[in-house]
Amino acid sequence: MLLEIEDLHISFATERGRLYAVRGADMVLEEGEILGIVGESGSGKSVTAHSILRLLPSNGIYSGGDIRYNDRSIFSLSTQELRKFRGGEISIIFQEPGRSFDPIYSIGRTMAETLLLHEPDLTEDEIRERSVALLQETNVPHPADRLSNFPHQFSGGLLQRIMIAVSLASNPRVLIADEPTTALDVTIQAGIMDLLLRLKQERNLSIVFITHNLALISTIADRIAVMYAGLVLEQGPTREVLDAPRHPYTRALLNSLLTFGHHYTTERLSVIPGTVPDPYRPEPGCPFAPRCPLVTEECRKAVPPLVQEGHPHRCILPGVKGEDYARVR
Amino acid sequence: MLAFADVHKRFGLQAGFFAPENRYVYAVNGVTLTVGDNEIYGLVGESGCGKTTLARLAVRMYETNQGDVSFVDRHGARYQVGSAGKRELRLIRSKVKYIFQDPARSLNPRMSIEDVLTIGYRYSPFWPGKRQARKEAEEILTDVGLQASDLDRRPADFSGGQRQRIAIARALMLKPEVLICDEVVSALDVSIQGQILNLLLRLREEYRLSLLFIAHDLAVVSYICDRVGVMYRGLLMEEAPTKELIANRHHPYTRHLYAAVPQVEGGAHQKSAGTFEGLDEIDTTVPPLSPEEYRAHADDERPGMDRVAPEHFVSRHYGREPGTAR
Amino acid sequence: MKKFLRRLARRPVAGISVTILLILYLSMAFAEFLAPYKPTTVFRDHAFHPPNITFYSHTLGFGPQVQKRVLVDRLNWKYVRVRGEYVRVHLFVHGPEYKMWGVIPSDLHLFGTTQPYVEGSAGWDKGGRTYPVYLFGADNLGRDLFSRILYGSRISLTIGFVGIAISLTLAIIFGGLAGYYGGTVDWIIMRLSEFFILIPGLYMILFLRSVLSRDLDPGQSFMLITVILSFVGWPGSARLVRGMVHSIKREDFITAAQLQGIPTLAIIFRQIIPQMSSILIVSITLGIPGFILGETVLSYLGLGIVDPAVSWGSLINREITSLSNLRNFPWFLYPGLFLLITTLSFNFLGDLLRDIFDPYFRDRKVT
Repeated sequence: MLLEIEDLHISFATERGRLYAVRGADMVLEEGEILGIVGESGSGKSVTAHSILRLLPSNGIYSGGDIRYNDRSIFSLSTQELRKFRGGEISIIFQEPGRSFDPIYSIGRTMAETLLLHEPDLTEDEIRERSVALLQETNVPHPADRLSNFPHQFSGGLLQRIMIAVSLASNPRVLIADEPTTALDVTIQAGIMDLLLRLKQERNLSIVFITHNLALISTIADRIAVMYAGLVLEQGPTREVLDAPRHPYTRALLNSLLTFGHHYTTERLSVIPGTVPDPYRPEPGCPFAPRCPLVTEECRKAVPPLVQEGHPHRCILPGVKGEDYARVR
Repeated sequence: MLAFADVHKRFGLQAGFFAPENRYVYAVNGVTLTVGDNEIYGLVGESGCGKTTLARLAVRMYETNQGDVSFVDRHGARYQVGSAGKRELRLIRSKVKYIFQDPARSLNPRMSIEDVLTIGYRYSPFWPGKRQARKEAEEILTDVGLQASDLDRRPADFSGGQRQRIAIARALMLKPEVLICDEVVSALDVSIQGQILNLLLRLREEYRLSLLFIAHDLAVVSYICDRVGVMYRGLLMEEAPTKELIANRHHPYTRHLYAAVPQVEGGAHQKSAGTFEGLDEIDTTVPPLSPEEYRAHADDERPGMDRVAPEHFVSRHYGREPGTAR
Repeated sequence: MKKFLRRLARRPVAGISVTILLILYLSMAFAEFLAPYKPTTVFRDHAFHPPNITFYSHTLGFGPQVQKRVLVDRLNWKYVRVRGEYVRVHLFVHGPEYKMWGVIPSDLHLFGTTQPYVEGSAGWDKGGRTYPVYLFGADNLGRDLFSRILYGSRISLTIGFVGIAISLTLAIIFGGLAGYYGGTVDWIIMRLSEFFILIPGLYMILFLRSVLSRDLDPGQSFMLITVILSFVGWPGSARLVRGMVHSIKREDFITAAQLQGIPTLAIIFRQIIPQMSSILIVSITLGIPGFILGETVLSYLGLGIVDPAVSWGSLINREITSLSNLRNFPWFLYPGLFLLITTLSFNFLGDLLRDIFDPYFRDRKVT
């Protein structure tokens, strides 16, 4: 087990009150594996991922649980160790590649900066060699020539590849990708997914991929964790979660996915009615209860505990939630 | 009915008054298509293919360099968008409504929802007074799935999906006939996209609208549209009824787009083909076709396209397989 | 509003500034009541009299009172205290008559002395020949500096608002039109503003002021000064407004407004400009001290407010601030102190407002 998150609780102190962003997240990342964290906006997936690197803003509060890397809690790292840990052992790439680069530095300079941070004794030639190699690895065309270019001279897709290259500069063992393709076209997206899969295979890189698009992540993830309202409702091997979901929310998500070939005249898309709960005022019970077609009185009493039947999930109703389950309503 | 007739649009690349250049970005390069009455026409393509520019020509946010856009309303009155006078243009813009992609930016954050919905109404010749206008705003707001009490709130109080509903409600206030939806679901979570798509379908029935629906995702387009047009480099590569496109895709570019759509049932990940022409980046400052090729179009029913089925057209250009230069 | 007060409580300096400003403006409003004398009241025998208030004496015990002084050195205007001679200062006394805000007649003052006092000089107000109480001392004509500062605050504290109002209106109109239309309109307006920037402000003020007659009554001269200062000040804000209008104009909601057929002027002034309201508020708050100081400079040079009108600037004029005078009569610096406090308070308030409105700052505070 390379990375383990156990019963994580994170909230934020804001002017409007306490925001309960994560109320119980459990997940596991093995070496050389891609873990997809899937959830809607506000589900807590980004906060969870950022907390792995202890990247929360100053008003963030860790109120419970633990995150362990290589069996060592990240909260026990000293400032020195933390600096080597961030970007060194675990790197992160973000959603908007245009915003992740300092616009006044060429990408070569940005690369050099990152390389020198982890290997201060590199010569200029070595830096150049390594930069070109990294850009080649991420399929950026004409890397040697383009090292002197600036971020605004690249398209979004290329910039994201460069971002990935920079994040690989320190040879990390884990890459956290926070919605890296959300701002990109479908065709460019496919290219990035390709790249990530290849990196996993060639470098044995472990990847934590955050997205709201279940279909997208299902193409490359080995394991999937489904988050809703700050809780991980279900997690397990991709095929298992998709073919035999143990939580009604996952089932509802699957039913509401758009697939090519599904035309409205054939059948109207089933959508999940209602809205996500208020993170400032969490209600007792399962957060999905107000929208769940299978809800019972028991569901509303307490947050469902983590059960291991099949794969870890939080639903007191037993068994696999099949097709017919979402149509009960 | 909204018709584009061999429309061309290019943008000049002048740096300023003292730096004239004769270079242009060729955004739309000869597109002919028609959105029929009560039809949802899907325009799909990657970023930079010209679909947004084309849509904006319909409401004269830009002016065409060649060709024109015409609009025929429900009573049969015909308007030429390019040559319309001030009053006509206002009429066209009240019947052909443009909805933006990002709901966070298309609503004035300092206005109440009531103001957002009624301010255009106020300056129109149909203004019925504040009370009546508020009543109508309430009706439309509840029709799109929100509540009357939301009229007094601000855009910041709503989620992305709800804001998009508000944007749609705003478009409906003046009883339009055509909605141009420019990537209206692309900025939303996939679980919310379905809600908005179903809403649009219902509104199309209820208000007897035509929709020009722009997207970059084939899956979205294949759900909601009656006909689909695939654009590349400012040209139509293929156009067909959705059902036919679902069954079979003729043009290599359409297949290229299809290959990129993530499939849950797909199992193993399909390797994507890279960019269509195998080029690093497309040079939009070069027209996609040569003057000779344009001349050869002259007599075509649909310029540059062959008819392969009663309603199915495929472009003659860029016909090689993906990954090869044209 | 609640949010504002909460933030205020967390930043003591800003909180103090707001309190100070409130006190100053309230005092200004009730100057007639708070000041023991009119600004023109002359005590010829008490020129350059030092502040004479004290709170304890052997004779009268505790309580505000005034010790009598006698002039000993007529050349250097030195006074010595008379032992044992005190006059009590009372609260809410009846003193020289006045009309509050020019309308309500009254003769009630917050404090003053009641002991009759004979002085044989002209310029007395009737109904109260009482021993003078000087909180801040007297000037060369024996006029109470405290009263003059209070009355003077009326001009000094309001000139900022009037000036900013004119200046900002010009800036918004010109900046808004230039930013929205661009092209030729922008070019013309920018060249016009540059013309105004090029002319050295001070010289323009001096020139205009001297060209226009010096025989204006105080009200007119006040307006004139304000207008002149505004004209010098607007180009800077106009450029700021123009830049912001230019960028806000590209937002989708503006395009949406254009497509809806909303008239251009309504778009500029009802949709675009309000987006900048936070910047404008900060600009106002930080710009007011500029106007106050501008008036001070003018009056110091004798080109602003002149006798019989009084402003803080006119109180710092050359006649009384020569080095020897300052050494002998240090209380002449009080108007300067008030100016300093006012300017600093506006600046701190402006800083606070700017931080409140800064979106990046907002998310970092903890309840």
